[in-house]
Amino acid sequence: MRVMNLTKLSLIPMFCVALLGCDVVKLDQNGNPIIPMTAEEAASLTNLSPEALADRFWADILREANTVSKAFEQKQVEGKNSEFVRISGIVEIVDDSKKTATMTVATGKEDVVLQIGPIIRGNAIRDAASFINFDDFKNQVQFARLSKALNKKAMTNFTRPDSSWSGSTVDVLAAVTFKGASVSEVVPLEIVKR
Amino acid sequence: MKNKLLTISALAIATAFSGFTMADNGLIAIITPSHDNPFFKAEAMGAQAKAEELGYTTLVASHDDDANKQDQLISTAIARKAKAIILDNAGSDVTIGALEKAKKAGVPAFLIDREINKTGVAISQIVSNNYQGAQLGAEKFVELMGGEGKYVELLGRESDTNAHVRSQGYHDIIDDYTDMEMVAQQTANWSQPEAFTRMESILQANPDIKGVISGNDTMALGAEAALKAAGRDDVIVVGFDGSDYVRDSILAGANIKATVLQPAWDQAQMAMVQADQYIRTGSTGLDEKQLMDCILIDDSNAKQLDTFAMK
Repeated sequence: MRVMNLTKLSLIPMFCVALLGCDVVKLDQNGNPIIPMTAEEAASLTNLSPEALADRFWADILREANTVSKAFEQKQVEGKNSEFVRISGIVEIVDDSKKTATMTVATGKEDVVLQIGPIIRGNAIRDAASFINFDDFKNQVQFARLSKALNKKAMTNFTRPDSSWSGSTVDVLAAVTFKGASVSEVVPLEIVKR
Repeated sequence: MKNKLLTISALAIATAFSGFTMADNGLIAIITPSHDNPFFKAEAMGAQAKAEELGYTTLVASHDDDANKQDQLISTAIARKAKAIILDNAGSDVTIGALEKAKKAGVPAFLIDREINKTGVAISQIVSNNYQGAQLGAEKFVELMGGEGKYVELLGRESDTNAHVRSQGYHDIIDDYTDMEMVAQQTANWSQPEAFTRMESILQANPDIKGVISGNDTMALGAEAALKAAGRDDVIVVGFDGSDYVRDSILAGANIKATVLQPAWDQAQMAMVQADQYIRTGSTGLDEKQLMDCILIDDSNAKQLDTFAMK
Protein backbone atom coordinates (compact mmCIF):
# COMPACT_ATOMS: atom_id res chain seq x y z
CA MET A 1 0.00 0.00 0.00
CA ARG A 2 1.58 3.33 -1.09
CA VAL A 3 1.25 5.79 1.83
CA MET A 4 3.57 8.71 1.49
CA ASN A 5 5.44 10.08 -1.42
CA LEU A 6 9.13 10.72 -0.76
CA THR A 7 8.93 14.14 -2.37
CA LYS A 8 6.21 15.27 0.03
CA LEU A 9 8.35 14.24 2.97
CA SER A 10 11.34 16.16 1.62
CA LEU A 11 9.21 19.28 1.35
CA ILE A 12 8.14 19.15 5.01
CA PRO A 13 11.54 20.21 6.39
CA MET A 14 11.70 22.88 3.66
CA PHE A 15 8.41 24.38 4.81
CA CYS A 16 9.29 24.21 8.48
CA VAL A 17 12.59 25.98 8.03
CA ALA A 18 11.07 28.59 5.68
CA LEU A 19 8.50 29.46 8.35
CA LEU A 20 11.32 30.18 10.79
CA GLY A 21 12.64 32.75 8.36
CA CYS A 22 16.00 31.03 7.90
CA ASP A 23 18.12 31.05 4.76
CA VAL A 24 16.91 27.91 3.06
CA VAL A 25 17.13 28.62 -0.63
CA LYS A 26 20.56 28.13 -2.15
CA LEU A 27 21.82 30.33 -4.95
CA ASP A 28 23.54 29.14 -8.11
CA GLN A 29 26.52 30.75 -9.87
CA ASN A 30 24.31 33.45 -11.36
CA GLY A 31 22.79 34.35 -8.03
CA ASN A 32 19.44 32.79 -8.93
CA PRO A 33 17.61 30.77 -6.29
CA ILE A 34 17.74 27.00 -6.77
CA ILE A 35 14.31 25.68 -5.98
CA PRO A 36 14.33 21.85 -5.87
CA MET A 37 11.71 20.52 -8.26
CA THR A 38 9.67 17.39 -7.64
CA ALA A 39 10.54 15.76 -10.94
CA GLU A 40 14.21 16.42 -10.47
CA GLU A 41 14.09 15.05 -6.97
CA ALA A 42 12.61 11.79 -8.18
CA ALA A 43 15.00 11.53 -11.10
CA SER A 44 18.04 12.10 -8.93
CA LEU A 45 17.24 9.15 -6.63
CA THR A 46 18.29 6.72 -9.31
CA ASN A 47 21.75 8.26 -9.47
CA LEU A 48 22.59 8.42 -5.80
CA SER A 49 25.00 6.08 -4.09
CA PRO A 50 23.59 3.74 -1.44
CA GLU A 51 25.30 5.71 1.33
CA ALA A 52 23.90 9.01 0.04
CA LEU A 53 20.43 7.48 -0.17
CA ALA A 54 20.69 6.10 3.37
CA ASP A 55 21.80 9.52 4.63
CA ARG A 56 18.93 11.18 2.83
CA PHE A 57 16.29 8.78 4.18
CA TRP A 58 17.58 8.30 7.71
CA ALA A 59 15.87 11.20 9.48
CA ASP A 60 12.53 10.36 7.85
CA ILE A 61 12.94 6.71 8.77
CA LEU A 62 13.52 7.52 12.44
CA ARG A 63 10.64 9.96 12.39
CA GLU A 64 8.27 7.43 10.86
CA ALA A 65 9.51 4.66 13.16
CA ASN A 66 8.92 6.81 16.25
CA THR A 67 5.48 7.84 15.04
CA VAL A 68 3.98 4.58 13.79
CA SER A 69 5.68 1.88 15.84
CA LYS A 70 3.52 -0.32 18.00
CA ALA A 71 4.44 -2.81 20.69
CA PHE A 72 5.89 -5.96 19.15
CA GLU A 73 3.52 -8.85 18.83
CA GLN A 74 4.18 -12.18 17.19
CA LYS A 75 1.67 -12.65 14.40
CA GLN A 76 0.77 -14.46 11.21
CA VAL A 77 1.10 -12.71 7.87
CA GLU A 78 0.50 -13.80 4.32
CA GLY A 79 3.85 -13.85 2.61
CA LYS A 80 6.16 -11.18 3.95
CA ASN A 81 5.52 -7.97 5.83
CA SER A 82 7.84 -5.46 7.51
CA GLU A 83 7.03 -2.87 10.13
CA PHE A 84 8.46 -0.63 12.84
CA VAL A 85 7.95 -1.93 16.37
CA ARG A 86 8.88 -1.26 19.98
CA ILE A 87 10.34 -4.10 21.98
CA SER A 88 10.73 -3.87 25.74
CA GLY A 89 11.98 -6.61 27.99
CA ILE A 90 14.85 -8.27 29.76
CA VAL A 91 18.02 -9.22 27.96
CA GLU A 92 18.39 -13.00 28.17
CA ILE A 93 21.59 -13.43 26.22
CA VAL A 94 23.99 -11.54 24.00
CA ASP A 95 25.62 -13.97 21.58
CA ASP A 96 28.84 -12.49 20.23
CA SER A 97 30.31 -15.76 19.00
CA LYS A 98 29.72 -14.96 15.34
CA LYS A 99 29.86 -11.86 13.19
CA THR A 100 26.09 -12.19 12.87
CA ALA A 101 25.80 -11.45 16.60
CA THR A 102 22.42 -11.39 18.33
CA MET A 103 20.71 -10.23 21.49
CA THR A 104 17.69 -12.14 22.78
CA VAL A 105 15.09 -10.12 24.68
CA ALA A 106 12.30 -11.68 26.73
CA THR A 107 9.26 -9.43 26.48
CA GLY A 108 7.11 -11.48 28.81
CA LYS A 109 5.01 -12.76 25.93
CA GLU A 110 7.76 -14.00 23.62
CA ASP A 111 11.51 -14.06 23.11
CA VAL A 112 12.73 -11.79 20.35
CA VAL A 113 16.13 -12.27 18.71
CA LEU A 114 17.66 -8.99 17.48
CA GLN A 115 20.63 -8.65 15.14
CA ILE A 116 23.30 -6.38 16.63
CA GLY A 117 26.05 -6.61 14.02
CA PRO A 118 28.74 -6.19 12.77
CA ILE A 119 27.01 -8.23 10.10
CA ILE A 120 23.30 -7.47 9.85
CA ARG A 121 21.21 -9.30 7.29
CA GLY A 122 17.95 -8.56 5.55
CA ASN A 123 15.87 -5.60 4.48
CA ALA A 124 13.67 -4.92 7.50
CA ILE A 125 14.44 -1.19 7.75
CA ARG A 126 14.06 -0.50 4.04
CA ASP A 127 10.87 -2.52 3.74
CA ALA A 128 9.26 -1.07 6.87
CA ALA A 129 9.66 2.49 5.58
CA SER A 130 6.44 3.31 3.76
CA PHE A 131 8.02 5.88 1.48
CA ILE A 132 10.74 3.66 0.01
CA ASN A 133 9.41 1.88 -3.09
CA PHE A 134 11.24 -0.29 -5.58
CA ASP A 135 9.56 1.62 -8.42
CA ASP A 136 11.58 4.73 -7.55
CA PHE A 137 14.95 3.05 -7.92
CA LYS A 138 17.02 2.23 -10.94
CA ASN A 139 17.27 -1.50 -10.38
CA GLN A 140 17.39 -4.22 -7.75
CA VAL A 141 21.10 -3.70 -7.11
CA GLN A 142 20.64 -0.10 -6.03
CA PHE A 143 17.56 -1.11 -4.05
CA ALA A 144 19.44 -3.92 -2.32
CA ARG A 145 22.51 -1.85 -1.54
CA LEU A 146 20.32 0.79 0.04
CA SER A 147 19.25 -1.87 2.49
CA LYS A 148 22.82 -2.67 3.46
CA ALA A 149 23.59 1.04 3.83
CA LEU A 150 20.55 1.45 6.10
CA ASN A 151 21.68 -1.48 8.22
CA LYS A 152 25.10 0.15 8.54
CA LYS A 153 23.47 3.43 9.53
CA ALA A 154 21.46 1.63 12.19
CA MET A 155 24.68 0.21 13.63
CA THR A 156 26.07 3.71 14.06
CA ASN A 157 22.81 4.76 15.69
CA PHE A 158 22.13 2.13 18.33
CA THR A 159 24.25 1.46 21.40
CA ARG A 160 25.77 -1.95 20.86
CA PRO A 161 24.96 -4.38 23.67
CA ASP A 162 27.52 -6.75 25.13
CA SER A 163 27.38 -9.73 27.50
CA SER A 164 27.27 -7.42 30.53
CA TRP A 165 23.73 -6.42 29.50
CA SER A 166 22.39 -9.83 30.43
CA GLY A 167 19.57 -9.35 32.93
CA SER A 168 19.12 -5.66 32.15
CA THR A 169 15.89 -4.16 30.89
CA VAL A 170 15.97 -2.62 27.42
CA ASP A 171 13.68 -0.55 25.24
CA VAL A 172 14.26 -1.02 21.53
CA LEU A 173 12.93 0.76 18.47
CA ALA A 174 13.28 -1.73 15.64
CA ALA A 175 12.28 -2.79 12.15
CA VAL A 176 10.87 -6.30 11.90
CA THR A 177 10.14 -8.59 8.97
CA PHE A 178 7.38 -11.12 9.54
CA LYS A 179 7.30 -14.12 7.25
CA GLY A 180 4.35 -16.48 7.49
CA ALA A 181 3.99 -17.43 11.11
CA SER A 182 7.40 -16.28 12.29
CA VAL A 183 9.82 -13.39 12.46
CA SER A 184 12.64 -13.55 9.94
CA GLU A 185 14.58 -10.40 10.84
CA VAL A 186 14.68 -7.89 13.68
CA VAL A 187 16.98 -4.90 13.18
CA PRO A 188 17.33 -2.32 15.96
CA LEU A 189 17.30 1.40 15.21
CA GLU A 190 17.65 2.61 18.80
CA ILE A 191 18.50 0.64 21.94
CA VAL A 192 18.13 2.11 25.42
CA LYS A 193 19.26 0.26 28.52
CA ARG A 194 17.25 1.25 31.53
CA MET B 1 -35.80 -38.81 -36.60
CA LYS B 2 -33.42 -37.89 -39.34
CA ASN B 3 -34.06 -34.23 -38.73
CA LYS B 4 -33.50 -34.64 -35.02
CA LEU B 5 -30.17 -36.34 -35.69
CA LEU B 6 -29.18 -33.64 -38.09
CA THR B 7 -30.24 -30.97 -35.61
CA ILE B 8 -28.25 -32.60 -32.82
CA SER B 9 -25.18 -32.96 -35.05
CA ALA B 10 -25.55 -29.41 -36.23
CA LEU B 11 -25.88 -28.25 -32.66
CA ALA B 12 -22.89 -30.30 -31.62
CA ILE B 13 -20.74 -28.85 -34.37
CA ALA B 14 -21.99 -25.35 -33.65
CA THR B 15 -21.17 -25.73 -29.96
CA ALA B 16 -17.75 -27.13 -30.71
CA PHE B 17 -17.09 -24.29 -33.11
CA SER B 18 -18.37 -21.56 -30.85
CA GLY B 19 -16.46 -23.22 -28.04
CA PHE B 20 -13.37 -22.89 -30.18
CA THR B 21 -13.94 -19.24 -31.00
CA MET B 22 -14.94 -18.46 -27.41
CA ALA B 23 -11.60 -19.96 -26.33
CA ASP B 24 -9.65 -17.49 -28.44
CA ASN B 25 -9.28 -14.33 -26.41
CA GLY B 26 -6.44 -13.26 -28.64
CA LEU B 27 -2.76 -13.85 -29.17
CA ILE B 28 -0.09 -13.71 -26.49
CA ALA B 29 3.53 -13.44 -27.60
CA ILE B 30 5.94 -15.22 -25.25
CA ILE B 31 9.56 -14.22 -25.86
CA THR B 32 12.51 -15.51 -23.84
CA PRO B 33 16.19 -16.36 -24.20
CA SER B 34 17.04 -19.69 -25.82
CA HIS B 35 15.29 -22.79 -24.51
CA ASP B 36 18.67 -24.56 -24.47
CA ASN B 37 18.72 -23.41 -20.88
CA PRO B 38 15.91 -25.33 -19.13
CA PHE B 39 15.21 -22.28 -17.02
CA PHE B 40 14.00 -20.26 -19.99
CA LYS B 41 12.14 -23.24 -21.36
CA ALA B 42 10.29 -23.57 -18.06
CA GLU B 43 9.37 -19.88 -18.21
CA ALA B 44 7.99 -20.17 -21.72
CA MET B 45 6.05 -23.35 -20.91
CA GLY B 46 4.67 -21.82 -17.72
CA ALA B 47 3.43 -18.72 -19.51
CA GLN B 48 2.04 -20.76 -22.37
CA ALA B 49 0.17 -23.13 -20.05
CA LYS B 50 -1.47 -20.25 -18.20
CA ALA B 51 -2.26 -18.36 -21.40
CA GLU B 52 -4.01 -21.37 -22.89
CA GLU B 53 -5.82 -22.02 -19.63
CA LEU B 54 -7.15 -18.47 -19.81
CA GLY B 55 -8.32 -18.95 -23.38
CA TYR B 56 -5.56 -17.30 -25.42
CA THR B 57 -3.52 -18.61 -28.31
CA THR B 58 0.22 -18.22 -28.10
CA LEU B 59 3.30 -17.47 -30.13
CA VAL B 60 6.45 -18.72 -28.40
CA ALA B 61 9.87 -17.55 -29.58
CA SER B 62 13.48 -17.03 -28.44
CA HIS B 63 15.59 -13.92 -28.97
CA ASP B 64 18.81 -15.79 -28.16
CA ASP B 65 20.02 -12.78 -26.14
CA ASP B 66 20.33 -10.81 -29.37
CA ALA B 67 18.88 -7.29 -29.20
CA ASN B 68 18.17 -7.18 -32.92
CA LYS B 69 16.38 -10.48 -32.90
CA GLN B 70 14.39 -9.31 -29.91
CA ASP B 71 13.43 -6.17 -31.85
CA GLN B 72 12.20 -8.28 -34.77
CA LEU B 73 10.17 -10.55 -32.52
CA ILE B 74 8.51 -7.63 -30.80
CA SER B 75 7.71 -6.09 -34.18
CA THR B 76 6.19 -9.40 -35.23
CA ALA B 77 4.04 -9.46 -32.12
CA ILE B 78 2.82 -5.96 -32.90
CA ALA B 79 2.11 -6.86 -36.53
CA ARG B 80 0.18 -9.94 -35.45
CA LYS B 81 -1.90 -7.70 -33.17
CA ALA B 82 -0.91 -9.56 -30.03
CA LYS B 83 -2.97 -8.75 -26.95
CA ALA B 84 0.15 -8.80 -24.80
CA ILE B 85 3.85 -9.64 -24.79
CA ILE B 86 5.39 -11.74 -22.03
CA LEU B 87 9.10 -11.07 -22.17
CA ASP B 88 12.33 -12.18 -20.50
CA ASN B 89 14.46 -9.55 -22.13
CA ALA B 90 17.81 -9.39 -23.93
CA GLY B 91 19.27 -6.33 -22.20
CA SER B 92 18.16 -3.85 -19.53
CA ASP B 93 18.92 -0.81 -21.70
CA VAL B 94 18.61 -2.10 -25.27
CA THR B 95 15.09 -3.42 -24.66
CA ILE B 96 13.63 -0.04 -23.74
CA GLY B 97 13.30 1.21 -27.33
CA ALA B 98 11.51 -1.88 -28.59
CA LEU B 99 9.05 -1.77 -25.71
CA GLU B 100 8.35 1.90 -26.30
CA LYS B 101 7.35 0.90 -29.83
CA ALA B 102 5.05 -1.80 -28.49
CA LYS B 103 3.50 0.61 -26.01
CA LYS B 104 2.83 3.10 -28.79
CA ALA B 105 1.19 0.35 -30.83
CA GLY B 106 -1.06 -0.50 -27.92
CA VAL B 107 0.54 -3.84 -27.06
CA PRO B 108 1.17 -4.07 -23.30
CA ALA B 109 4.34 -5.79 -22.11
CA PHE B 110 4.80 -7.95 -19.01
CA LEU B 111 8.41 -8.58 -18.14
CA ILE B 112 9.67 -11.54 -16.19
CA ASP B 113 12.99 -12.49 -14.59
CA ARG B 114 15.16 -9.62 -15.88
CA GLU B 115 14.30 -6.00 -15.35
CA ILE B 116 14.86 -2.99 -17.59
CA ASN B 117 16.34 0.29 -16.38
CA LYS B 118 13.19 2.33 -16.91
CA THR B 119 9.68 2.34 -15.54
CA GLY B 120 6.56 3.44 -17.40
CA VAL B 121 7.31 1.39 -20.51
CA ALA B 122 6.17 -2.06 -19.46
CA ILE B 123 3.00 -2.68 -17.42
CA SER B 124 4.59 -5.17 -15.06
CA GLN B 125 8.15 -6.11 -14.30
CA ILE B 126 8.12 -9.31 -12.29
CA VAL B 127 11.77 -9.34 -11.52
CA SER B 128 13.71 -12.19 -9.99
CA ASN B 129 15.36 -10.86 -6.92
CA ASN B 130 18.74 -12.05 -8.08
CA TYR B 131 20.54 -9.95 -5.52
CA GLN B 132 18.55 -11.48 -2.66
CA GLY B 133 18.99 -14.94 -4.17
CA ALA B 134 22.73 -14.39 -4.44
CA GLN B 135 22.82 -13.28 -0.82
CA LEU B 136 21.08 -16.54 0.17
CA GLY B 137 23.50 -18.62 -1.86
CA ALA B 138 26.46 -16.74 -0.44
CA GLU B 139 25.24 -17.13 3.14
CA LYS B 140 25.01 -20.89 2.60
CA PHE B 141 28.41 -20.89 0.92
CA VAL B 142 29.98 -19.05 3.87
CA GLU B 143 28.36 -21.55 6.22
CA LEU B 144 29.67 -24.52 4.22
CA MET B 145 33.13 -22.95 4.14
CA GLY B 146 33.08 -22.40 7.90
CA GLY B 147 33.55 -18.69 7.25
CA GLU B 148 37.12 -19.07 6.09
CA GLY B 149 39.34 -20.45 3.33
CA LYS B 150 40.21 -20.07 -0.31
CA TYR B 151 37.50 -20.05 -2.91
CA VAL B 152 36.85 -19.51 -6.59
CA GLU B 153 34.07 -17.53 -8.26
CA LEU B 154 32.74 -18.37 -11.70
CA LEU B 155 30.99 -15.46 -13.38
CA GLY B 156 28.26 -15.50 -15.99
CA ARG B 157 28.33 -13.84 -19.37
CA GLU B 158 29.70 -10.29 -19.12
CA SER B 159 26.88 -8.78 -21.18
CA ASP B 160 24.16 -10.24 -18.96
CA THR B 161 23.07 -7.96 -16.12
CA ASN B 162 22.31 -10.95 -13.96
CA ALA B 163 25.94 -12.03 -14.06
CA HIS B 164 26.88 -8.77 -12.37
CA VAL B 165 23.90 -8.65 -10.03
CA ARG B 166 24.64 -12.12 -8.68
CA SER B 167 28.34 -11.46 -8.27
CA GLN B 168 27.55 -8.26 -6.40
CA GLY B 169 25.08 -10.13 -4.22
CA TYR B 170 27.69 -12.80 -3.47
CA HIS B 171 30.29 -10.26 -2.47
CA ASP B 172 27.75 -8.29 -0.44
CA ILE B 173 27.83 -11.24 1.93
CA ILE B 174 31.22 -12.92 1.45
CA ASP B 175 33.39 -9.81 1.63
CA ASP B 176 32.27 -9.22 5.22
CA TYR B 177 34.19 -12.39 6.10
CA THR B 178 37.79 -11.33 6.03
CA ASP B 179 39.05 -14.90 6.42
CA MET B 180 37.55 -15.92 3.09
CA GLU B 181 39.96 -15.44 0.21
CA MET B 182 38.97 -15.37 -3.45
CA VAL B 183 41.91 -16.84 -5.35
CA ALA B 184 40.32 -16.77 -8.80
CA GLN B 185 37.34 -15.04 -10.42
CA GLN B 186 36.71 -15.93 -14.03
CA THR B 187 33.84 -15.96 -16.45
CA ALA B 188 32.66 -19.22 -17.96
CA ASN B 189 29.92 -17.46 -19.92
CA TRP B 190 27.10 -19.54 -18.42
CA SER B 191 28.54 -22.55 -20.25
CA GLN B 192 29.01 -26.01 -18.77
CA PRO B 193 31.95 -27.12 -20.95
CA GLU B 194 33.65 -23.76 -20.52
CA ALA B 195 33.27 -24.00 -16.75
CA PHE B 196 34.83 -27.47 -16.90
CA THR B 197 37.92 -26.15 -18.71
CA ARG B 198 38.28 -23.11 -16.47
CA MET B 199 37.90 -25.21 -13.32
CA GLU B 200 40.58 -27.61 -14.52
CA SER B 201 43.19 -24.87 -14.93
CA ILE B 202 42.15 -22.98 -11.80
CA LEU B 203 42.45 -26.17 -9.78
CA GLN B 204 45.95 -26.83 -11.11
CA ALA B 205 47.05 -23.32 -10.16
CA ASN B 206 45.22 -23.35 -6.80
CA PRO B 207 45.05 -26.88 -5.39
CA ASP B 208 44.24 -25.63 -1.88
CA ILE B 209 40.78 -24.25 -2.61
CA LYS B 210 37.84 -25.27 -0.41
CA GLY B 211 34.91 -24.06 -2.45
CA VAL B 212 33.50 -22.73 -5.70
CA ILE B 213 30.65 -20.28 -5.99
CA SER B 214 29.06 -20.14 -9.40
CA GLY B 215 26.86 -17.58 -11.12
CA ASN B 216 24.55 -20.31 -12.37
CA ASP B 217 23.83 -24.03 -12.30
CA THR B 218 25.18 -25.00 -15.71
CA MET B 219 28.60 -23.61 -14.78
CA ALA B 220 28.34 -25.27 -11.36
CA LEU B 221 27.80 -28.60 -13.11
CA GLY B 222 30.84 -28.01 -15.30
CA ALA B 223 32.96 -27.14 -12.29
CA GLU B 224 31.70 -30.22 -10.45
CA ALA B 225 32.65 -32.46 -13.34
CA ALA B 226 36.19 -31.06 -13.34
CA LEU B 227 36.48 -31.51 -9.59
CA LYS B 228 35.25 -35.10 -9.85
CA ALA B 229 37.73 -35.83 -12.63
CA ALA B 230 40.51 -34.53 -10.38
CA GLY B 231 39.27 -36.66 -7.49
CA ARG B 232 38.39 -33.62 -5.40
CA ASP B 233 35.21 -34.59 -3.48
CA ASP B 234 36.27 -32.20 -0.74
CA VAL B 235 35.61 -29.01 -2.70
CA ILE B 236 32.07 -27.67 -2.23
CA VAL B 237 30.13 -25.93 -4.96
CA VAL B 238 27.14 -23.59 -4.80
CA GLY B 239 25.13 -22.69 -7.93
CA PHE B 240 22.15 -20.55 -8.90
CA ASP B 241 18.90 -21.23 -10.79
CA GLY B 242 17.42 -24.35 -9.27
CA SER B 243 17.83 -26.82 -12.12
CA ASP B 244 16.80 -30.47 -11.86
CA TYR B 245 20.37 -31.62 -12.60
CA VAL B 246 21.74 -29.68 -9.67
CA ARG B 247 18.92 -30.96 -7.51
CA ASP B 248 20.03 -34.49 -8.37
CA SER B 249 23.62 -33.59 -7.50
CA ILE B 250 22.60 -32.24 -4.11
CA LEU B 251 20.53 -35.33 -3.35
CA ALA B 252 23.39 -37.59 -4.45
CA GLY B 253 25.74 -35.84 -2.02
CA ALA B 254 28.13 -34.72 -4.76
CA ASN B 255 30.22 -31.53 -4.79
CA ILE B 256 27.25 -29.23 -5.37
CA LYS B 257 25.64 -28.61 -1.99
CA ALA B 258 23.17 -25.88 -2.74
CA THR B 259 21.59 -23.69 -5.34
CA VAL B 260 19.10 -20.86 -5.43
CA LEU B 261 15.74 -21.30 -7.07
CA GLN B 262 14.31 -18.57 -9.18
CA PRO B 263 10.65 -19.53 -9.35
CA ALA B 264 10.57 -19.36 -13.15
CA TRP B 265 7.33 -21.25 -13.62
CA ASP B 266 5.44 -19.20 -11.01
CA GLN B 267 6.77 -15.91 -12.32
CA ALA B 268 5.73 -16.69 -15.87
CA GLN B 269 2.28 -17.73 -14.72
CA MET B 270 1.97 -14.59 -12.59
CA ALA B 271 2.86 -12.46 -15.60
CA MET B 272 0.16 -14.12 -17.66
CA VAL B 273 -2.44 -13.64 -14.93
CA GLN B 274 -1.54 -9.95 -14.72
CA ALA B 275 -1.66 -9.66 -18.51
CA ASP B 276 -5.12 -11.19 -18.56
CA GLN B 277 -6.27 -8.86 -15.78
CA TYR B 278 -4.91 -5.90 -17.70
CA ILE B 279 -6.49 -6.99 -20.99
CA ARG B 280 -9.90 -7.40 -19.38
CA THR B 281 -9.92 -4.44 -17.01
CA GLY B 282 -7.25 -2.01 -18.16
CA SER B 283 -5.16 -2.40 -15.01
CA THR B 284 -3.30 -5.00 -12.97
CA GLY B 285 -4.00 -3.28 -9.66
CA LEU B 286 -0.33 -3.68 -8.74
CA ASP B 287 2.92 -1.71 -8.80
CA GLU B 288 4.89 -2.07 -12.01
CA LYS B 289 8.03 -3.44 -10.44
CA GLN B 290 7.54 -6.55 -8.35
CA LEU B 291 10.53 -8.27 -6.84
CA MET B 292 10.10 -12.01 -6.59
CA ASP B 293 12.25 -13.57 -3.95
CA CYS B 294 14.40 -16.59 -4.67
CA ILE B 295 14.53 -19.70 -2.50
CA LEU B 296 17.60 -21.47 -1.18
CA ILE B 297 17.75 -25.12 -2.19
CA ASP B 298 19.89 -27.53 -0.21
CA ASP B 299 19.57 -31.10 0.99
CA SER B 300 16.73 -30.08 3.30
CA ASN B 301 14.31 -29.23 0.50
CA ALA B 302 15.86 -30.37 -2.80
CA LYS B 303 13.38 -33.25 -3.02
CA GLN B 304 10.53 -30.79 -3.54
CA LEU B 305 12.18 -29.09 -6.50
CA ASP B 306 10.92 -29.91 -9.98
CA THR B 307 11.15 -27.89 -13.19
CA PHE B 308 11.94 -24.66 -11.40
CA ALA B 309 9.09 -24.87 -8.94
CA MET B 310 8.59 -26.23 -5.47
CA LYS B 311 6.03 -29.00 -5.38
